[in-house]
Amino acid sequence: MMNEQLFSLFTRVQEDSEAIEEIILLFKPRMYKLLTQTSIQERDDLFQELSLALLSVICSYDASKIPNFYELRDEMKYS
Amino acid sequence: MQVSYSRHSFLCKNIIREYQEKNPSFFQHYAVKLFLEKPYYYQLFEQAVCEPTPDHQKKLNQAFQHYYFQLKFVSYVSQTLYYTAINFDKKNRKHKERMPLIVDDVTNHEEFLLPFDATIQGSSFVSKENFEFHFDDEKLIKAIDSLSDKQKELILLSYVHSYNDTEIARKQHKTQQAVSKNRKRTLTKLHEMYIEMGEE
Repeated sequence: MMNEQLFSLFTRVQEDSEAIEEIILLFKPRMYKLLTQTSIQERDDLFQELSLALLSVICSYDASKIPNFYELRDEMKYS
Repeated sequence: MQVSYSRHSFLCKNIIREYQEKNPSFFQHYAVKLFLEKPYYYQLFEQAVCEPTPDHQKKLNQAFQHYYFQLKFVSYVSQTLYYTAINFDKKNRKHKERMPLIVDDVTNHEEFLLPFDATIQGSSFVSKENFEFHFDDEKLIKAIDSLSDKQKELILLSYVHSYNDTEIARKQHKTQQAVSKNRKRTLTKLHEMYIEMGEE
Protein backbone atom coordinates (compact mmCIF):
# COMPACT_ATOMS: atom_id res chain seq x y z
CA MET A 1 0.00 0.00 0.00
CA MET A 2 1.33 3.35 -1.13
CA ASN A 3 0.66 5.27 2.05
CA GLU A 4 2.32 2.89 4.43
CA GLN A 5 5.27 2.77 2.11
CA LEU A 6 5.55 6.53 2.05
CA PHE A 7 5.26 6.94 5.80
CA SER A 8 7.78 4.27 6.62
CA LEU A 9 10.14 5.68 4.01
CA PHE A 10 9.77 9.10 5.50
CA THR A 11 10.54 7.91 9.02
CA ARG A 12 13.70 6.23 7.75
CA VAL A 13 15.00 9.30 5.91
CA GLN A 14 17.35 10.37 8.69
CA GLU A 15 19.34 7.14 8.80
CA ASP A 16 18.81 5.71 5.37
CA SER A 17 19.81 7.66 2.28
CA GLU A 18 18.17 5.04 0.07
CA ALA A 19 14.82 6.06 1.51
CA ILE A 20 15.29 9.55 0.08
CA GLU A 21 16.01 8.08 -3.32
CA GLU A 22 12.91 5.96 -3.15
CA ILE A 23 10.74 8.92 -2.26
CA ILE A 24 12.19 10.85 -5.20
CA LEU A 25 11.44 7.85 -7.37
CA LEU A 26 7.83 7.91 -6.21
CA PHE A 27 7.47 11.53 -7.27
CA LYS A 28 9.30 11.16 -10.54
CA PRO A 29 6.17 10.85 -12.70
CA ARG A 30 4.85 14.10 -11.24
CA MET A 31 8.11 15.85 -12.01
CA TYR A 32 8.24 14.54 -15.56
CA LYS A 33 4.76 15.86 -16.12
CA LEU A 34 5.89 19.34 -15.09
CA LEU A 35 8.92 19.07 -17.38
CA THR A 36 6.73 18.83 -20.46
CA GLN A 37 5.57 22.37 -19.86
CA THR A 38 8.98 23.89 -20.45
CA SER A 39 11.16 23.91 -23.56
CA ILE A 40 13.34 20.91 -24.34
CA GLN A 41 16.59 22.78 -23.77
CA GLU A 42 15.64 23.63 -20.21
CA ARG A 43 14.21 20.32 -19.05
CA ASP A 44 17.41 19.06 -17.47
CA ASP A 45 17.82 22.26 -15.52
CA LEU A 46 14.25 22.18 -14.35
CA PHE A 47 14.51 18.56 -13.33
CA GLN A 48 17.49 19.40 -11.16
CA GLU A 49 15.63 22.33 -9.68
CA LEU A 50 12.60 20.17 -8.90
CA SER A 51 14.70 17.45 -7.31
CA LEU A 52 16.32 20.06 -5.11
CA ALA A 53 12.94 21.40 -4.07
CA LEU A 54 11.73 17.89 -3.27
CA LEU A 55 14.85 17.20 -1.23
CA SER A 56 14.41 20.33 0.82
CA VAL A 57 10.78 19.40 1.45
CA ILE A 58 11.77 15.92 2.58
CA CYS A 59 14.38 17.31 4.93
CA SER A 60 12.20 20.03 6.42
CA TYR A 61 8.76 18.40 6.57
CA ASP A 62 7.49 17.99 10.11
CA ALA A 63 5.45 14.79 10.36
CA SER A 64 4.94 15.06 14.12
CA LYS A 65 2.17 17.60 13.61
CA ILE A 66 -0.03 15.07 11.81
CA PRO A 67 -2.87 14.20 14.20
CA ASN A 68 -4.05 10.64 14.68
CA PHE A 69 -7.67 9.53 14.51
CA TYR A 70 -8.75 10.51 18.01
CA GLU A 71 -6.73 13.71 18.11
CA LEU A 72 -8.35 14.94 14.92
CA ARG A 73 -11.79 13.96 16.24
CA ASP A 74 -11.32 15.98 19.42
CA GLU A 75 -9.81 18.85 17.50
CA MET A 76 -12.86 19.03 15.25
CA LYS A 77 -15.19 18.80 18.22
CA TYR A 78 -13.90 21.92 19.91
CA SER A 79 -13.36 24.05 16.83
CA MET B 1 -25.44 -18.34 16.20
CA GLN B 2 -26.77 -16.67 13.13
CA VAL B 3 -29.21 -14.60 15.11
CA SER B 4 -26.57 -13.40 17.49
CA TYR B 5 -24.31 -12.46 14.61
CA SER B 6 -26.93 -10.37 12.84
CA ARG B 7 -27.91 -8.84 16.12
CA HIS B 8 -24.35 -8.01 16.77
CA SER B 9 -23.91 -6.29 13.40
CA PHE B 10 -27.18 -4.43 13.93
CA LEU B 11 -25.98 -3.18 17.26
CA CYS B 12 -22.68 -2.21 15.76
CA LYS B 13 -24.38 -0.17 13.04
CA ASN B 14 -26.35 1.66 15.68
CA ILE B 15 -23.25 2.42 17.65
CA ILE B 16 -21.53 3.74 14.56
CA ARG B 17 -24.50 5.93 13.68
CA GLU B 18 -24.54 7.35 17.18
CA TYR B 19 -20.84 7.94 16.96
CA GLN B 20 -21.21 9.78 13.68
CA GLU B 21 -24.01 11.93 15.04
CA LYS B 22 -21.89 12.90 17.99
CA ASN B 23 -19.04 14.13 15.77
CA PRO B 24 -20.72 15.62 12.72
CA SER B 25 -17.94 17.97 11.62
CA PHE B 26 -15.32 15.30 12.06
CA PHE B 27 -17.05 13.01 9.59
CA GLN B 28 -17.30 15.89 7.12
CA HIS B 29 -13.54 16.26 7.12
CA TYR B 30 -12.13 15.38 3.68
CA ALA B 31 -9.41 13.10 5.05
CA VAL B 32 -11.83 11.16 7.24
CA LYS B 33 -14.26 10.74 4.35
CA LEU B 34 -11.57 9.45 2.03
CA PHE B 35 -10.17 7.23 4.75
CA LEU B 36 -13.47 5.53 5.51
CA GLU B 37 -14.19 4.94 1.83
CA LYS B 38 -11.50 2.26 1.83
CA PRO B 39 -13.06 -1.07 2.92
CA TYR B 40 -9.97 -2.16 4.83
CA TYR B 41 -9.87 1.01 6.88
CA TYR B 42 -13.60 0.96 7.43
CA GLN B 43 -13.20 -2.44 9.01
CA LEU B 44 -10.58 -1.07 11.38
CA PHE B 45 -12.90 1.80 12.23
CA GLU B 46 -15.81 -0.56 12.87
CA GLN B 47 -13.72 -2.69 15.17
CA ALA B 48 -12.40 0.25 17.12
CA VAL B 49 -15.83 1.77 17.64
CA CYS B 50 -17.78 -1.38 18.47
CA GLU B 51 -15.12 -3.09 20.50
CA PRO B 52 -12.99 -0.25 21.80
CA THR B 53 -9.98 -2.19 22.99
CA PRO B 54 -6.65 -0.36 23.14
CA ASP B 55 -5.30 -2.68 20.48
CA HIS B 56 -8.06 -1.84 17.98
CA GLN B 57 -7.81 1.83 18.71
CA LYS B 58 -4.09 1.79 18.25
CA LYS B 59 -4.41 0.07 14.90
CA LEU B 60 -6.98 2.58 13.72
CA ASN B 61 -4.89 5.48 14.94
CA GLN B 62 -1.81 4.30 13.18
CA ALA B 63 -3.56 3.54 9.90
CA PHE B 64 -5.24 6.91 9.92
CA GLN B 65 -2.08 8.78 10.77
CA HIS B 66 -0.23 7.13 7.91
CA TYR B 67 -3.07 7.81 5.55
CA TYR B 68 -3.41 11.43 6.58
CA PHE B 69 0.33 11.90 6.37
CA GLN B 70 0.35 10.58 2.83
CA LEU B 71 -2.49 12.90 1.80
CA LYS B 72 -0.85 15.95 3.26
CA PHE B 73 2.67 15.15 2.19
CA VAL B 74 1.73 14.38 -1.41
CA SER B 75 -0.31 17.54 -1.77
CA TYR B 76 2.41 19.64 -0.17
CA VAL B 77 5.09 18.19 -2.44
CA SER B 78 2.90 18.58 -5.52
CA GLN B 79 2.30 22.23 -4.77
CA THR B 80 5.95 22.87 -4.06
CA LEU B 81 6.98 21.22 -7.32
CA TYR B 82 4.33 23.14 -9.24
CA TYR B 83 5.44 26.51 -7.94
CA THR B 84 9.10 25.65 -8.36
CA ALA B 85 8.44 24.94 -12.03
CA ILE B 86 6.56 28.21 -12.46
CA ASN B 87 9.28 30.21 -10.74
CA PHE B 88 11.90 28.50 -12.85
CA ASP B 89 10.09 29.57 -16.01
CA LYS B 90 9.67 33.11 -14.73
CA LYS B 91 13.35 33.35 -13.92
CA ASN B 92 14.31 32.06 -17.33
CA ARG B 93 12.06 34.47 -19.14
CA LYS B 94 13.45 37.39 -17.20
CA HIS B 95 16.98 36.30 -17.97
CA LYS B 96 16.20 35.98 -21.66
CA GLU B 97 14.64 39.42 -21.77
CA ARG B 98 17.55 41.06 -20.05
CA MET B 99 20.33 39.21 -21.84
CA PRO B 100 19.22 38.68 -25.42
CA LEU B 101 21.61 36.57 -27.46
CA ILE B 102 21.46 39.00 -30.40
CA VAL B 103 22.72 42.34 -29.20
CA ASP B 104 22.22 44.32 -32.43
CA ASP B 105 18.79 42.94 -33.15
CA VAL B 106 16.24 45.63 -33.96
CA THR B 107 13.67 44.81 -31.37
CA ASN B 108 13.07 48.26 -30.05
CA HIS B 109 11.72 50.89 -32.42
CA GLU B 110 12.29 53.70 -29.96
CA GLU B 111 16.05 53.34 -29.89
CA PHE B 112 16.25 54.57 -33.45
CA LEU B 113 14.32 57.70 -32.68
CA LEU B 114 15.59 60.84 -31.06
CA PRO B 115 15.74 60.51 -27.31
CA PHE B 116 13.19 62.48 -25.39
CA ASP B 117 15.60 64.86 -23.75
CA ALA B 118 15.79 68.58 -23.20
CA THR B 119 16.58 69.38 -26.85
CA ILE B 120 13.33 67.88 -28.00
CA GLN B 121 11.20 69.54 -25.37
CA GLY B 122 12.76 72.99 -24.96
CA SER B 123 11.27 76.20 -26.33
CA SER B 124 13.48 76.16 -29.43
CA PHE B 125 11.93 72.84 -30.37
CA VAL B 126 8.60 74.46 -31.14
CA SER B 127 10.11 77.66 -32.63
CA LYS B 128 9.26 78.84 -36.12
CA GLU B 129 12.78 78.14 -37.37
CA ASN B 130 12.48 74.51 -36.51
CA PHE B 131 9.34 74.17 -38.59
CA GLU B 132 10.89 76.08 -41.49
CA PHE B 133 13.67 73.56 -41.36
CA HIS B 134 11.29 70.63 -41.64
CA PHE B 135 8.54 71.97 -43.91
CA ASP B 136 8.73 73.71 -47.27
CA ASP B 137 5.18 74.91 -47.72
CA GLU B 138 4.89 78.57 -46.65
CA LYS B 139 1.18 78.29 -46.00
CA LEU B 140 1.61 75.17 -43.89
CA ILE B 141 4.29 76.84 -41.78
CA LYS B 142 2.03 79.79 -41.25
CA ALA B 143 -0.86 77.54 -40.26
CA ILE B 144 1.29 75.58 -37.83
CA ASP B 145 2.62 78.78 -36.33
CA SER B 146 -0.85 79.72 -35.19
CA LEU B 147 -1.23 76.53 -33.16
CA SER B 148 -0.49 76.39 -29.46
CA ASP B 149 2.92 75.16 -28.27
CA LYS B 150 1.45 71.89 -27.12
CA GLN B 151 -0.11 71.23 -30.50
CA LYS B 152 3.09 72.17 -32.31
CA GLU B 153 5.04 69.77 -30.20
CA LEU B 154 2.57 67.02 -30.94
CA ILE B 155 2.78 67.59 -34.69
CA LEU B 156 6.57 67.56 -34.57
CA LEU B 157 6.77 64.43 -32.49
CA SER B 158 4.33 62.37 -34.45
CA TYR B 159 4.97 63.53 -38.03
CA VAL B 160 8.59 64.67 -38.04
CA HIS B 161 10.10 62.26 -35.55
CA SER B 162 7.59 59.48 -36.19
CA TYR B 163 6.84 58.60 -32.61
CA ASN B 164 3.60 56.73 -32.30
CA ASP B 165 0.79 57.81 -30.00
CA THR B 166 1.61 55.28 -27.32
CA GLU B 167 5.21 56.43 -27.07
CA ILE B 168 4.23 60.09 -26.88
CA ALA B 169 1.63 59.29 -24.27
CA ARG B 170 4.14 57.41 -22.14
CA LYS B 171 6.67 60.23 -22.22
CA GLN B 172 4.13 62.96 -21.58
CA HIS B 173 2.32 60.98 -18.88
CA LYS B 174 -0.99 61.03 -20.71
CA THR B 175 -3.14 58.23 -21.96
CA GLN B 176 -2.75 56.99 -25.50
CA GLN B 177 -6.39 57.89 -26.21
CA ALA B 178 -5.85 61.48 -25.13
CA VAL B 179 -2.85 61.86 -27.41
CA SER B 180 -4.71 60.30 -30.31
CA LYS B 181 -7.71 62.59 -29.84
CA ASN B 182 -5.47 65.64 -29.55
CA ARG B 183 -3.54 64.73 -32.66
CA LYS B 184 -6.68 64.27 -34.74
CA ARG B 185 -8.16 67.55 -33.52
CA THR B 186 -4.95 69.36 -34.34
CA LEU B 187 -4.90 67.87 -37.83
CA THR B 188 -8.47 68.93 -38.49
CA LYS B 189 -7.66 72.43 -37.32
CA LEU B 190 -4.60 72.59 -39.57
CA HIS B 191 -6.61 71.33 -42.49
CA GLU B 192 -9.32 73.97 -41.99
CA MET B 193 -6.76 76.76 -41.69
CA TYR B 194 -4.90 75.56 -44.73
CA ILE B 195 -8.05 75.61 -46.84
CA GLU B 196 -9.05 79.04 -45.54
CA MET B 197 -5.68 80.42 -46.52
CA GLY B 198 -6.00 78.92 -49.97
CA GLU B 199 -9.18 80.86 -50.53
CA GLU B 200 -7.60 84.16 -49.65
